[in-house]
Amino acid sequence: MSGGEKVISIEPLTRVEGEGHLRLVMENGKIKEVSLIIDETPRLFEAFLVGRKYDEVHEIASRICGICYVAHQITALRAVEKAIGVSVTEEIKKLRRFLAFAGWIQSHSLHLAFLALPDYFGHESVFSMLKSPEHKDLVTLGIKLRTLGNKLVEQLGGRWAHPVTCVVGGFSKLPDQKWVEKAKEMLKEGKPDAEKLGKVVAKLEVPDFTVDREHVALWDPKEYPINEGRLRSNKGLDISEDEFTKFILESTDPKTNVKRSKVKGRDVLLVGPLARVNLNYDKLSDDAKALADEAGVKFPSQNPFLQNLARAMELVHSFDECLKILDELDITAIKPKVEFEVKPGIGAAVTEAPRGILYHGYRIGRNGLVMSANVVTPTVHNVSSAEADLWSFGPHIANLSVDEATLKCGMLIRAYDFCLSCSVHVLRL
Amino acid sequence: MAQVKMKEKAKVAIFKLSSCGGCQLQLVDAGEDFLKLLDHIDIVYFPIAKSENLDGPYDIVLVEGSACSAEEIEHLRKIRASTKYLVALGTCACFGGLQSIRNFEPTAKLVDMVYEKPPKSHPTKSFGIDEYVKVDAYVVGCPVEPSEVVEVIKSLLMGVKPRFPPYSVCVECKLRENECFLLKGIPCMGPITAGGCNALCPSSNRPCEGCRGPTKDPNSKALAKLLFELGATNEDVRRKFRKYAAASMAFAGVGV
Amino acid sequence: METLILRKEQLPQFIEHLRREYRVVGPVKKGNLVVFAEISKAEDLQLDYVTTMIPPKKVLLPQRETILKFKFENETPKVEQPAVDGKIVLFGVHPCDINAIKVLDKVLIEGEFKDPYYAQRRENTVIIGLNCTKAGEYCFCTSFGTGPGAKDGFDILLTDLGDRFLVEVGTDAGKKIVEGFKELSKAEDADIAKRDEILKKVAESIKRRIKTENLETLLLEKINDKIWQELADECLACGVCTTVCPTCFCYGVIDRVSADFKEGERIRYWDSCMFLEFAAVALGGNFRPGRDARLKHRMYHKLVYIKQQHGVFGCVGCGRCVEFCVKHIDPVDAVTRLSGD
Ligand code: SF4
Ligand code: SF4
Ligand code: SF4
Repeated sequence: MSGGEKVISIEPLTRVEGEGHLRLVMENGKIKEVSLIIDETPRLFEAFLVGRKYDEVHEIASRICGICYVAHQITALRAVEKAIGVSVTEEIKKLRRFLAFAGWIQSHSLHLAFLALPDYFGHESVFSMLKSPEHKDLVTLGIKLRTLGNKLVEQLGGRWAHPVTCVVGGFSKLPDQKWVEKAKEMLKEGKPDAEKLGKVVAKLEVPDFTVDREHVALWDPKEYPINEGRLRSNKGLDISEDEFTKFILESTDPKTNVKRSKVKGRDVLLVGPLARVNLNYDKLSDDAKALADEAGVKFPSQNPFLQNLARAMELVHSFDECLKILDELDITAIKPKVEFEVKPGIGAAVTEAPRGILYHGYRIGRNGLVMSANVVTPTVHNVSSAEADLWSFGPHIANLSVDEATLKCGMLIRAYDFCLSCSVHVLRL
Repeated sequence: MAQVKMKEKAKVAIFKLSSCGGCQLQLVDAGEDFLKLLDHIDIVYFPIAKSENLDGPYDIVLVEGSACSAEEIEHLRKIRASTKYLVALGTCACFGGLQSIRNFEPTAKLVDMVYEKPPKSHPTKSFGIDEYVKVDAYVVGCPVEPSEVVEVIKSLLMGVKPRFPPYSVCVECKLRENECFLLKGIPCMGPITAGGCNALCPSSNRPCEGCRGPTKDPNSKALAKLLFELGATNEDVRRKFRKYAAASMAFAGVGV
Repeated sequence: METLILRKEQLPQFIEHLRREYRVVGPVKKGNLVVFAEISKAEDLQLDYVTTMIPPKKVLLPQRETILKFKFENETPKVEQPAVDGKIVLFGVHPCDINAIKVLDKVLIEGEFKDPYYAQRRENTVIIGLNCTKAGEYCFCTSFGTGPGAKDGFDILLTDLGDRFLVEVGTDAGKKIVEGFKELSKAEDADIAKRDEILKKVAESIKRRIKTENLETLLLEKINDKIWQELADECLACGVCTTVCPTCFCYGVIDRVSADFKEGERIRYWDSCMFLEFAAVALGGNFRPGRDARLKHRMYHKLVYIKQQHGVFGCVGCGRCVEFCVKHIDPVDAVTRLSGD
């Protein structure tokens, strides 16, 4: 069936956060053109953050993304705290860790159930799944998990979308012991749902498609990394967050509003669940690992379609992490916020947003005002990675009809869980 | 009132301009209510959630985000022409959103700060979408409250004017019996910020930052004067007003 | 009027006694504020409070209440009245607030239109007042004779005499309560003298004053005075003043239908004449589009119109609207300036 020119066009990209489109041209079974283009208008956050006060940076940065606001807030807070010389207590770090994992539950369940799964069951959306007696329950399951993630963030953060209690130095207000009990109960009740969804994802049939990509993620000797750690890769990268901009280099793609990134001296990189699972497999909870066995997959893996499985494993793992944190926590003994004075300085932080490494860097002046800001979001790296994947995807779609090939390309792109609103906020270094 | 009857399912479309994407998700996150609404509406355009997206005409369009480039303004006009009702969803769409902070600097300079080479679509200043098209209903908030998105859809389905709280954040703050920040000398935007969030921030022990935009008749000048009396500098005051709703008439002129 | 003595160590038992039949709502601490809330024991009470921010009115006329529910079944809506709350004791109500409830009674029960929701709650409520032993910075109750001691409007009235409370019984309901609590002893003349002495001292400490003689004439004469514009320039129109006022009774009504359009409820909520939309009417008209007109209307309503309509002042001098206004816009100051003193 191969031969002739085949144009695959997805415009707009759907079930992806933000506006973008894909065009892929094949001729005689060979790929001639791939352009994955982001159509978001830049909102110029890094520019208008300049001149704002240190204590509102995370609040503003939160609005870069309507899905991973928790990650943006925590990253901005850590970077600003480093810049002005504030160190928070271990307890506050734990609570932030809890919030970050709760953010993963929000984001991963949304992506898996609402954005990724419909393709695999022949639906165009959850709305059509809702009408199918066979698949309706999957949507309900997804809603339950997403709602649970929302509630966890809301109870600690005051609001689930763009939370309000996170402040420089800690929290403006903390819930009480009753919350700890309630949250534990919710997590215990919800975990079987996460495993159920995980098993569905583990059973999905994915193409046998392997690439050779540099996977970059945070790494920590003891914990599954989320809010801090060293940056490592499968190709020998091992740097601190302060060295991020020296080793992860960007250039603007003239066709789009997005910068493409590369590891210094090497090629494009993949970040996110798959990179994290590959690099930190041993620190996942047993129940999370069980999903890999269920799927019959061995990690590390280089199949980008398995990002969904990795995401499902992390979803289950997030429940275990949250429970562990709550078990160790004496919330009544925690001082919500540390006292501090504001010193001028530079600070950078990298965390693991749901979609991968997120970098924020700030210079704060003597008056406590931002002098420069720099944000590098995970989608920046992953767009390049997905494009590179598509270049080698030819053999898998050469024999398919245009419709089938379009679906397959869509599935590949969706496995990345792009966040295109985020990705147009890159600053020149 | 007879039973509320809907002839056919209303065609609903959700568009995104310059925004974070958070407000449209609030609709999906409205839970039970959202599912119930699906018996009365067909969501026919919603790219973040579905692959089959239809062109107009629509009955109700929710627009998230502000129109910040020539392309987006053009797109917005087309959207307006294709729908019976147009709803501005969220503070970006209502008042320009956080990106309106940049309205006071030449955009070219800002773009230059962010990009080495000029990007494909060139951003302009950020205003509420009613700068360019007629808007039938506004849902404020950064993000919007899920219940208020549901409310606006219900109202439009019934053909009645959606009603939201007429009061300021202060009223809700009093009702939650919080100690007042301003009375303690700490700047707060509550007095001139539209209520409806149940005074979330003051109740979480931090001042209101004005994410729901101005009340119907805000006395910005008087609040600015009070902030000066509390020791704020001109820059401080400007920062307070030039935030979520910097493009609103009520706030734009303050502290210049 | 019967006068008795309740020793302070007996208060816990007395509260227990009340709780057998009533939910007890009294002043309790919340951070640095004191608020009216349900209590389970005497220790919860904060009886040395000056003024709460939100008045006890919130119990009788809740800020948001469902006044009816409706369901659509086969085309005809079925209407249902929500259940009334049980019996309540409002404990430790200061004289200004007692008098404010009297104003509400006049308007909402004795007026031309009886408000059934308020009336029902009012009927189920027993008021145990507490005379003031100290005045707040903003109090001016003496202007209206609404404090620091209460004369009527309570079922039972307490005065803190140091180690004991003087107990005065005002109604049959109050009598029933004290009769059921045998531990009370008779009050001596000295106790009553002590009460009078305390109240006199408190009254003397209150320096803020609105002259009520010819107030109506004065205000109606000065309706176009420049001070209204001056005050309007300061006013944020945030609505705090009416929210904390113990006599404000204006409300809005709204219907909310469920997302499946099968049922709904009619809700009423406190409205405020300080909001632009308050006097808005169909076709875009508005009787009070200017902040000056709204601010003036609020003060005139309290000081002139309610008096014309119902024979009492609408202000009881509790000072809340001044204390909690971030601009401290002050009727005492306004009237003083208008009268040229
Ligand atoms: S109003 Fe706020 S939450 Fe809504 S889209 Fe804009 S930035 Fe996001
Ligand atoms: S804290 Fe802010 S919102 Fe609350 S009453 Fe004071 S000024 Fe108003
Ligand atoms: S208190 Fe102010 S900043 Fe906070 S949610 Fe409400 S309107 Fe927004």
